[in-house]
Order: sequence, then C-alpha cells, then structure tokens
Amino acid sequence: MNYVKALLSVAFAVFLVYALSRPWGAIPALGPFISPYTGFWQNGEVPLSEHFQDHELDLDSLREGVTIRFDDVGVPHIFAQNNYDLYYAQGYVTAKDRLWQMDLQTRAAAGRLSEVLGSRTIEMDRRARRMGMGYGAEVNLKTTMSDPVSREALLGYTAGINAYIDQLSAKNIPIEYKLLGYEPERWTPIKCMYMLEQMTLTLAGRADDLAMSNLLKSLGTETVNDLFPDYPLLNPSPVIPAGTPWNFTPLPIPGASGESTTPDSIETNLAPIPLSEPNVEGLGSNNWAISAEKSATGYPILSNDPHLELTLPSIWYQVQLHTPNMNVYGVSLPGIPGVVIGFNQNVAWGVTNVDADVLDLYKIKFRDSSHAEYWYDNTWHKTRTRLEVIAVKGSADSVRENVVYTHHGPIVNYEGEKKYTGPTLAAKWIGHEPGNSFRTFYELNIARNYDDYRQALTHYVGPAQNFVFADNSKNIAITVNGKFPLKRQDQGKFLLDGSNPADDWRGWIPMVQNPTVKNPPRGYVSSANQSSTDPSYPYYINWRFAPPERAIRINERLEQMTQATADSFRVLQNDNFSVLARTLLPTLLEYLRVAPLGPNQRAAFQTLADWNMVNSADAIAPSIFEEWVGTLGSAIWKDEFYSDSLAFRYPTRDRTEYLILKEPDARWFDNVKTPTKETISDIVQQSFKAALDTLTAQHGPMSPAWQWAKVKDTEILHLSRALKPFNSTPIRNGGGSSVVNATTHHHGPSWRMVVELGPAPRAYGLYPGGQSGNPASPLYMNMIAKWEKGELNELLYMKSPEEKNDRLQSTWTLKKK
Amino acid sequence: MRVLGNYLIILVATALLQFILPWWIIAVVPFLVCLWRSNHAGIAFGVSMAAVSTVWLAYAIFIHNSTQGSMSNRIAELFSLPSGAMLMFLVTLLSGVVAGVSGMAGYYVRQLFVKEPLATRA
Repeated sequence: MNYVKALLSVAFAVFLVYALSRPWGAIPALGPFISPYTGFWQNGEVPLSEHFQDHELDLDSLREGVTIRFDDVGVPHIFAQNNYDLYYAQGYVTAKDRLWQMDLQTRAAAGRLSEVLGSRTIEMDRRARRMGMGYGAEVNLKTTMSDPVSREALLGYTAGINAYIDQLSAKNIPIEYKLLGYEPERWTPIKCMYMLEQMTLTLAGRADDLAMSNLLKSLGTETVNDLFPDYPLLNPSPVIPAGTPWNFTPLPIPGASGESTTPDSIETNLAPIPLSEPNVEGLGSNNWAISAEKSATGYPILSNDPHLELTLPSIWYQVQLHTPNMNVYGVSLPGIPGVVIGFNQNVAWGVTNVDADVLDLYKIKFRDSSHAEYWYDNTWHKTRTRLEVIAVKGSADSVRENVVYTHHGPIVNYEGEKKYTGPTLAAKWIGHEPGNSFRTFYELNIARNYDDYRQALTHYVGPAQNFVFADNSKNIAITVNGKFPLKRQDQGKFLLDGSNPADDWRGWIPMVQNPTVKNPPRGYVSSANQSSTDPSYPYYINWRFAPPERAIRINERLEQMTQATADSFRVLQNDNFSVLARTLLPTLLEYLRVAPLGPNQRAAFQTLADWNMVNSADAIAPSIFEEWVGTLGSAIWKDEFYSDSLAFRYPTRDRTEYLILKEPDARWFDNVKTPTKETISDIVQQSFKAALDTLTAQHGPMSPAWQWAKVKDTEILHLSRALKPFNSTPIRNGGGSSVVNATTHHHGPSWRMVVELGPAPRAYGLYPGGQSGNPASPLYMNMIAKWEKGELNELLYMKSPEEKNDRLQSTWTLKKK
Repeated sequence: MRVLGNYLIILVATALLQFILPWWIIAVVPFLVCLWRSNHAGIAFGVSMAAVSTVWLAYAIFIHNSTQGSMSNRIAELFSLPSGAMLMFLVTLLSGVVAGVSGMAGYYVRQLFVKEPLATRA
C-alpha cells in the first residue's frame, strides 16, 4: 500500500511538472511562463519616470569605445570612432528594442515561420521559398560582402546584435518568444539581405499579369487596351513634370521593331498561389521638396511620409549615427544597418515606392514530369534545382521541395497542381538581381551635395523608389530610381512566353537615364506613387501606378505655397481634402437629384451636397462617399471583371472616373447578370442606396456612429495580429486612400518627416508607435497620440556626445572588453 | 516547530535557487525537504504549498507593483482573465499545487524507509 501511495504521488508530481513544462496548443508552457522568476512578469517595465538609466557595458570585439545618448522618446544618438563600432552599436540597441520583430520579419522572408509557428504557416513559407527569396538574399549578400565598406557595416551590425543576444537569459527574452515558445537565434549577415528581400517583396512583388491575360482572352485586345490604358486619362500629374526634357540618347529597345513575339493566348486558369497581397490602391507614400525661393527660411524644405501597413512595433526605428565622417539622423529598418530616410548636416532625402513592373511571369513548357528540361529558343534547356527544406514545429517530418529554376527564375506554379489549373509559370523578379542597395543608403548617409546623391543612387537595385532630395546648396531633385529592365512597351503587362527569347528581359535602362529632374522651374518636386513620367519618356516602367489624386492635391498646394515653413509641410502631410470627391461627386449627385429617394436617403444626399469634401474625423459625408464609390466600382465592373474561379482585376480608379465623367453611355454600366438594361443613372442610384444599406447594417441608422473616424476604424495591430492586448487603442483621425493623409483601416503614414535645410538643419518627425518593441514599455506607443493629432516631434540633431540638452535622458558607455 | 522549520527551509531554498535554476526546482525542493523531515501527508502538502506560493506571490506582487502592471495586466487580458488580481490567484494556485504534490510525494517516499511513531507528529 505504501508503495502504491509513493508511486502514485511521485508520478502525479512528475506529471504536473511535465504538463506545465510543455505548451498545449496556443497556451505556452505555463510553469516557466507564469513563474515570476522567468515568465512574463520579467517583461514588465517601470514607468517613464524611472525608465532611463545610465549603463556601462563591456563588450567583445568593439574596436574603440562608443557613447550612446538616449533622448526623451528613446531615440539612441550613437557616437563612434569608426564604422564597425558605429554599426555594432546600432545593431546592439536595435536588438535591445526590436529583437523579436527582426526575427519574425527575416523568418517570414526566409520561409522559416513554420519552424517556430507550426504547420499553419507552411503555405506562406512555401511561397517564400518558391519566390526565390533565399536565392535573392544569397546573390545580394555576395555582392554586398565584396565591397569593403558594406562588409564592415554588415559584420559590425551582426556582431552588435549577437552581443545583445548573448547576454540575454531566459527571463529577459522578449515576451513574444515566451508566448510562442521559442528562443532567439544568432544573427547572420544574410538576415540583413532577407530584410531587403522582404521590402522588395512588399513594394515590388506584385504582378497582375495572369489577371490581365485572362481579361485579354475574355474581352479581347481592343477592350483591354481601352479599359487598361498605360497612362491616366484624367489629369495624370506625373512625378517628373510633363515636358521635362530627356537629356540623353536612348538605347534601342530589343524587340520593339516588330520582332516576332508571341501574342498571348491563355488557357482558362484558376488563380495561382498569390505572390503577395493583392494590389491595394491608395497604399503608397508621399514626398516633396520646395526650392529656397518658395520657403521662408531661404533654404529648401523636404518632406516624406511613407505609407505602409501600420504595425506595432513600428516598421521604422529612429536613430542618429555619428562618426568623424558621418552625422546622420533618420529612420532605419530593424535588420538593416544605416539610415533609410533622413538628413545630415548638408542634405535630406526621402523615398516613395515607384511600383515598377519588375515581376514578370513566364509560361514554361517542360519536356517531362521530371522538370529537368524546358523548351526555350527551339531547343531543350536544362533546369537547375534548389532543395528547400521547411522544418515544421511539432512535426518530425520537414516539408521538402526541389524548387526548379529556369534562366527566367524559379517556378512558382505548376500546371495541374492542387487548386490551380493554369500554365506552369516562372517568375522573373528584380529580387533575384545581385546588387548592393545598402551602399546607396550608406552614401546618402554621408552625402554632402547633389553629386553625392546622384552617385549614391547608381548602386541601387530595388525596390525602385522615387528618391527626393534637397541640399544646403539650395538644390532640389527627384529621381525615379532602381534597376529597370529594358523592356518593350507593355512587356510583362500580360503573361510572357518562356520559350521565346524575344520575351526575355534583355538589358537594363542605364542608371543615368532613369527619370530625374533637378531644380525644375516650378520650384518644387514631389511624388505620390503616381505615373513616373509622361509618355515622352523612351522606356517602359509600368502601365499602372497609384491613382494620381494625392499627387494632384500635393502639387496644387505646393504651387500656391510661398514663404513655406516646416509647419506648412506638416499641415500638407495631414491634408484630408478629397480630390476624388471633387472630381466625381458633383456628377454623381446630379444623377441622384432626379431619383426618387426615401427620407433617409434624402438626408444622406443632403449631407453629401453640403460636404466640404474634406475627409475629416468627425464628418459623416466621407463615410457615405467612400462606401458609395467602392460600391459603385463593383456595380460597374463586377459583372464582367470578376470570377470565382479566374484571376481578374477591375480597371483602375482613374479609368473608372473617366468612364463616369466622359463615357456615361458606355455599355459597362449595364449589369449583364440582369435581364433589364441599366444606365449610368440606374447604377449610380442603386449603388447609393446599397451603400447606405451597408452603412445602416454595420452602424445603425445615420447618426454620429457614421462619423468617418469610426467607420474608417484605423487600428494599429501588433505584428502577430493575434495578441490583442498588444494592439493600439482605436485611432480617431481623418484620412482615406485617396487623400494626402492616406490613413485607412490598417495602412497609413508609417513615418512623417519634415526637414528644413540650412546652416543648422531643423527637422521634425514621428511614427505611430514607439522606439521600444516591448508592449509593457512606456516607449511602446508613446508617439501615437501626437501622430493621431497630426503633430510632429522636433528631432534632436546632436553635434557631439557631450552636448547638453534637457531632452537627453541617459548615457550608455560601450567599452572594449 | 518542524512545520515552521520546513516552511522556512522551502521558502528560502526555492526563493534563492530559482535565480539560477529552472522553475521546476519548486517541485524538487519540497520533495527533498519532506523526504528528509516530514511526518504527515496533509501537512507536507500544506507546508510545501504555503512556502512556495508565498515566494511566487510575493515576487509577482512586487513586480506587478513596481512595473504598474505594464505586462501583467496585458497578459491577464490575453488569457481573458477579468483582472490582474486573477493572475495572482493563478500564480498561487499553480506554484502551490506543484509544490504541495511534490512535498506530499516526498512524505510518501519517506514512509517507505522510515517508521516513525505517531506520537511525534507535528
């Protein structure tokens, strides 16, 4: 009996310890997680008043000492004697604040999420592997490491991150590791390349070639050319002002002179594995600069607000980097050394996405099911394979796939595979092109003048950006910059023939011939993701860009500006005027005026008629208008441009506007799914009523619950998208996808910066988050309230480590061990 | 006195050892102490439970207060607990049960080797 009791009690104790030492589904191992010694408690942080502490750290492999001063928003101002130490310290403090974010983003890029998250992310990982993210990271690492300056930066940054990781113990790893039940792994230089690949995928990893080919087959060439023009039909407002002369002799374009290309004929096919999120119109960014003549300071002023998915922790991390040869302030991407958007003593620069057509899909014909050879140029060519092994947490078996590479690129979809009935497709993508984009940012960080800026841009491969620039010599400039394939017009608008050499990418647009303008007569430069150039530019960059409304508004405001200050720019960054409403609403309301409307519809009509067309937070009209325009677009296009089984897309927003304003008799207004023949008037009225019904269903009858801020419902989610208590509180601001302040449900200005150039630069900026990635930190989302109100922080630009300023809170001294 | 002694030994030993050893030392210490000196199953359970949950609860309250619940309140919300106070209950319960069961196991194993007269109980 005694033996039984002893055995049972010991067994029960052992079972308890075991059960509490392992995770159960989404519940982390409760023993270590709840223990105050190792668990979540240890991630608690003291309030702001006690937050800042001086530290002395003895660290391996530093060459000399480093001093870091932290200001009141937690920005590190790093003072080092050489580049290695500088990036070492940047790596160390970035890891201190953002380690888990860096881990997650590089894992996503590398297709290694399943290794820590289990089987639910296998498809995401497979997508990353097939997209050749690893291949791209490797070729870029090789190029980057062959440059001594870049090599030193990557090695220093890596060593700094690892120095931070090495001193962590189980109790002070970031909370996300504890919740997800895994541990930080050491950093390697290729992870920096994975971060760049991830940005390239986000900003230049979308292709609607398949949708366009399906439309071509379904509707014919004439209709597709009519509805999917290469240049906006209404007020295009391109980045490089129309009429700017091209001071170069263009290269001949291979295949442009009637060489036999294969007109696309398309089998009916299901949507492929989506390469990334579908094209979201209105996701984009703004930047601009004005000349000294238009400013109150007598020097140029520059602005940039990149719009991305808003997350916590923020995608950006502020930092100042100082050595005897450098003094730059701006935002970095955690995982990449240096500053991506910022300013120094002499220059300021910013970026917006170009969205060039640098991902093309080629139809591939294999000789047999071994995929060892494919048909190209009338002969069989050998493929190469790259074994991809996806480890899966909680499973003994890894997912293994031999990704097949043609000379175009990796195969992303196979004919006959599950959930896909289309042709086998290879992806030709700029992310596979070797380059050293880090070098561009490094040279911008130390640039002194316009020539340095131009030189810096030559290293850049992708994702292509509109690089705006201003300097103390009173130059302003903007360059549509990236490595652009030399393609014939519309090459890659539709699927390409992988067997025809005439469809290959054959060369590159010379960097010096990328669209650029310096000190234009109008006194300002700007971009908002719209068309890069007017049609006079001799090369093809893309057929579709973001709709031009933001650009139109920015240019109108800049045109009128005189005696501008940083505050004029701040106001413009927060401008909520809707050019879309100005363009469409008067016409739409005319159709309603004659319609039989019920009392509620009449009230909504009146609200719109009285509206000042500003998407402000507390207005009700923008809620009605935005819902209506969305419904109207679907009402016009869905019957012919949507299918449950095929990849299709709607015509662009600017083409839709043109249709409504200039082609009211177009056959597209008729809904072919109904026996009656609808006119534009019917569609406008029906969509208006449907939009009101939607709003009523979601928010009740028209009331303050319909205020735009509530309907738009901007929220900033934690990167996990699952840990609700780590999200922001609801954001109540204005905005919209077609206004300058492009804040939507989950996207918006991820960093706002204004720089007044001059003998001593004055700069302002913030992002909707905080420097710390720890949800318990007083610096986790401390900048959101100001961001929501449209205010900016003055950025503390220090000259020396000894500088005195009330905003400086603590000093870290890094010493060589 | 033996009860108080065991309480203090377990309390001090687990409080210190957890700074260097994993969390399950809260099972090992009560087991060993009760293996060494205990003479009633229920008391072994109770003393072990009380000692270890004192340590965890006190440390949890200390951190909760000094960090103003900055993480603990969010974790409570994550686990759909009505308040941070419920976390305190969870901490007490979890550490207490693990320690209590282990202490009791120590007592029962002890019984295999030691025959003590009932009179010396408590």
